[in-house]
Amino acid sequence: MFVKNDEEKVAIVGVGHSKFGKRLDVNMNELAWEAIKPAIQEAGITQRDIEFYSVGNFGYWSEEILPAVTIGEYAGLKCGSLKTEAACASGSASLKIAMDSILAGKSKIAMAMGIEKMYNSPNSTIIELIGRAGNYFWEFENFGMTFPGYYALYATKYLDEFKSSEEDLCEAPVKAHHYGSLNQYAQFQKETTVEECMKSKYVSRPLKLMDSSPITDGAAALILARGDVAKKLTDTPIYIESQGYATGTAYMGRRDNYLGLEASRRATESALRGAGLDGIGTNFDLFEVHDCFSIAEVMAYEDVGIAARGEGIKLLKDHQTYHDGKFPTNLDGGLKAKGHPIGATGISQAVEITKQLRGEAGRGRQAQINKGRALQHNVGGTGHYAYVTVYSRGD
Amino acid sequence: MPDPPVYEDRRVLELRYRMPVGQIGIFFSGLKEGKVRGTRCRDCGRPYFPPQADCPVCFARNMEWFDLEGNAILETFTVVEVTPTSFSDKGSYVVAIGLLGEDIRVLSWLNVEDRNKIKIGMKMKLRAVKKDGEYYSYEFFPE
Repeated sequence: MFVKNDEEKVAIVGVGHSKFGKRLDVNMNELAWEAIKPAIQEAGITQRDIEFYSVGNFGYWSEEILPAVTIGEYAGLKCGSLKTEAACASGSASLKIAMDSILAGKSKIAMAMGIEKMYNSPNSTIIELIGRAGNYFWEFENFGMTFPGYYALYATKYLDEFKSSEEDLCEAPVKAHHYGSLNQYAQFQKETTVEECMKSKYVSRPLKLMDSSPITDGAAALILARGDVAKKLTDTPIYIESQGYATGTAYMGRRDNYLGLEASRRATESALRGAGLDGIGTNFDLFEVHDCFSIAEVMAYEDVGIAARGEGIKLLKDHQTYHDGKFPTNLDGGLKAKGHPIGATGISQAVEITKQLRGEAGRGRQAQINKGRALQHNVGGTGHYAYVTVYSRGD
Repeated sequence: MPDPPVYEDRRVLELRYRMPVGQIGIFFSGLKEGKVRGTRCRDCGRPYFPPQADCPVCFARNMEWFDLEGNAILETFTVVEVTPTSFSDKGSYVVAIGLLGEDIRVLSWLNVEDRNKIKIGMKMKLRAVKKDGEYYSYEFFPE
């Protein structure tokens, strides 16, 4: 692997995160500011220092069509901007674009943020709109696919193939809620049990309400800086070592199988290669994976490569993805308990990784940082988009 | 704690798209004749379902239509219990993915009376159906 000089690196120098949940106390701009303000303050810069910014947002259920512009005006930003859309990976797409503006030499400091304001529409409208995110004509128009429905197709196949049970899947929300209970920004700050999960209603069989991430309002922001600038701004820059991405088929019938997400595997391979790593091995202290549903967390373990195919549930049940396990994962409560504000999720995962690598995650949910490296897995739709990003302290 | 005040939007929009199907018109005329059809590239032989007009592999626009035999093996399924607004009058429904003999997979509703009898690997038949007496679609039926 070639060695990069500071001018060829991009680092996170400031983070901000809103409280996640049902946030009808604020509008989109106010919610955005809740994340942008601390990010700017932590970086020790002003709006004038930001030369480009991007806003990950799916939209449709909230009224503003041009969130990058309305948020920019509210937050005092006038530099170039855009909105990024990669469904539930819109946040990672936002990170990509802001990072690219630095790597292309167009800016030295950029902001990547993500936001979603889902409660601005009724639940039934949200279920409809997110269900349309696939192949509209051949899946939604006649067959009324839903977001849980898509993942349920995978869950049915997975449980059958590997002789696993719905109780097994319920181990995922138990872990998520445990860490959510320790995260002040999480939508659900209470523990749950397998029994409680099993009693929850089916949304799309075999997936139940407690297998599913909630509808969430939330925002998160990152200030990025070129490596040499980052070193002047902070003693604890968190470098973005590499990002891999891939796009899966829209039509479910064209997937290779229903046991994992092929796009996730390709994105992971690309991210690891870009970071000069030949595999997961013992290279990582921490993982953030896209657990929009319990089955999604299990498949993510296998697609990223911390579990062999068919062994994700065992890894979960053996507590190997808890903070003191072999592969600490989603110690912020994940999408399930922290909440899943679609466009903000990718940035929220990056905020969590930054805090973890700095050793600032808080009591009961701080991973032991030895290698100084973490991996983020962010999926859009049902393996429609996949973004995998490698972060490091640079030590 | 009372809910915070919200301003209820007075501007209501009905979304109804007009989706061009001119290039795959034979698919729809096929449904009326009881056939579910895909396209196959005459240059490279690749089959397409959903049918499409262009072959991105060999850059040709030289498709022929073929009738799917309809014999399928159930690969996976779900029962959608919480349905979207525009399906709120349908009750719950079974969505299945079937592998057809032509090495094509199709996503569609599975029209079955006893949902407890659905099993991965079961044989199904894909058929064109008339819906609500006014438009055509296709569904799997147990064999």
